Amino acid sequence: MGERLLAPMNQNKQEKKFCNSQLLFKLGQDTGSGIYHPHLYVSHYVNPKGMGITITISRAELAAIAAAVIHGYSHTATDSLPSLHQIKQQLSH
Amino acid sequence: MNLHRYHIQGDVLQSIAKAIRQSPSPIHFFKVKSHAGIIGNEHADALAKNSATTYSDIADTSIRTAGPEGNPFYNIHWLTKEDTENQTQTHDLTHTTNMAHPPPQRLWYLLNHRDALQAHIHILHKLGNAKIEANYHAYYQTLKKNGTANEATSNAYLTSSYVPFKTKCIIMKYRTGTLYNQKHAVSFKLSTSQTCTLCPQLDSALHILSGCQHTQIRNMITERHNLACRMIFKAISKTGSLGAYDVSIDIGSKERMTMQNLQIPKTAKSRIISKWLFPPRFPDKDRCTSSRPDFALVTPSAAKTQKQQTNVGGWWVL
Repeated sequence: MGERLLAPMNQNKQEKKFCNSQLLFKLGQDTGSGIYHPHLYVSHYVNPKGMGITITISRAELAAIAAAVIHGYSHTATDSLPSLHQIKQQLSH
Repeated sequence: MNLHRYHIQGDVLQSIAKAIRQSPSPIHFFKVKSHAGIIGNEHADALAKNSATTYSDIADTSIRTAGPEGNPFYNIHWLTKEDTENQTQTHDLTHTTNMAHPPPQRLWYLLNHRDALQAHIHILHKLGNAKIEANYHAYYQTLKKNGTANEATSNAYLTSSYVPFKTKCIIMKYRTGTLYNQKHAVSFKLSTSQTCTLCPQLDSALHILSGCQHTQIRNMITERHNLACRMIFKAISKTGSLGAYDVSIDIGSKERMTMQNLQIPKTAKSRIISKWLFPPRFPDKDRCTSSRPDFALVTPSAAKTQKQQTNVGGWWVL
């Protein structure tokens, strides 16, 4: 069901998408992240998954960016500078 | 294995990097200020909050959890080696009981961690093994076998209070082949050329010490050599008797020697060593080459030692 929500859209792919994440400590550790398309008013939910020590805000931020990139969006905006730095490091690795 | 660069979120980062590399069009990322009233960012923030609380069941599931059972380090085997000799041998239980995920049967945990860590360090790492195939080491080993090099004298600078600590470090770097030069710069991807920045020759530790053909550097090397030789000459002259037996000196001009209160003895010839010190029929061309000795002392027969049994007298060639 989630994959259907994030099906690649052919229209307005060049528009910016906004990615964000949230970490809550209720009933254990739950993370979530979302993608928002401001021109199409489309919202996506992303489940970062992860286990144990990998459940972090960093993973949630990266998961949202990963979902946006994997599904074909070419312009992505985020407020997480560490994520961008890690992606840059991974690309240069 | 790039163990030092492994990130705990490596699976997500790898998927992002893979998607970016396989993308037919360029991917652009933008950094926006957080909690600054940017509508799109605030909306994404609210989405993330809802996703974490309410909509986790319907969220996108294309992000896979790293490794079996969520272990982010499932593909890393730390301090192990492949058992190529005996595949059927069982593992040492004392080293596997604490592991949540025991390694495959073909891997062995190393008992000697010190050697294993040393072997694991990259050969170009600054803390890695010193290069024993370096020029200095090979040359020094040859001299030790011949009995020419005295280990106590060669290493006396380490305990000398006159030698600064920084100088000791530089000497040790030269001896171990880790003195920084253009070859290291190319290895560390800081430069693309191995040639010296001052002359067109290949750069190396030996080149820095005495091989650079740049005018100023060459003069500096010659002056450094002469300065060291003059210090030795001064020490020899202080001994009294030995100072009178100089027959050849090649340690710079008379003006330079005068600056250090040194004078060429009347018995000594400057620069070119006397012909009678060489064997008969020794070619003059070889006698006058640039590799001539800096000093030649000839002592009378009375000063002979047990090791120097010659008819003419004791030879001291430096």
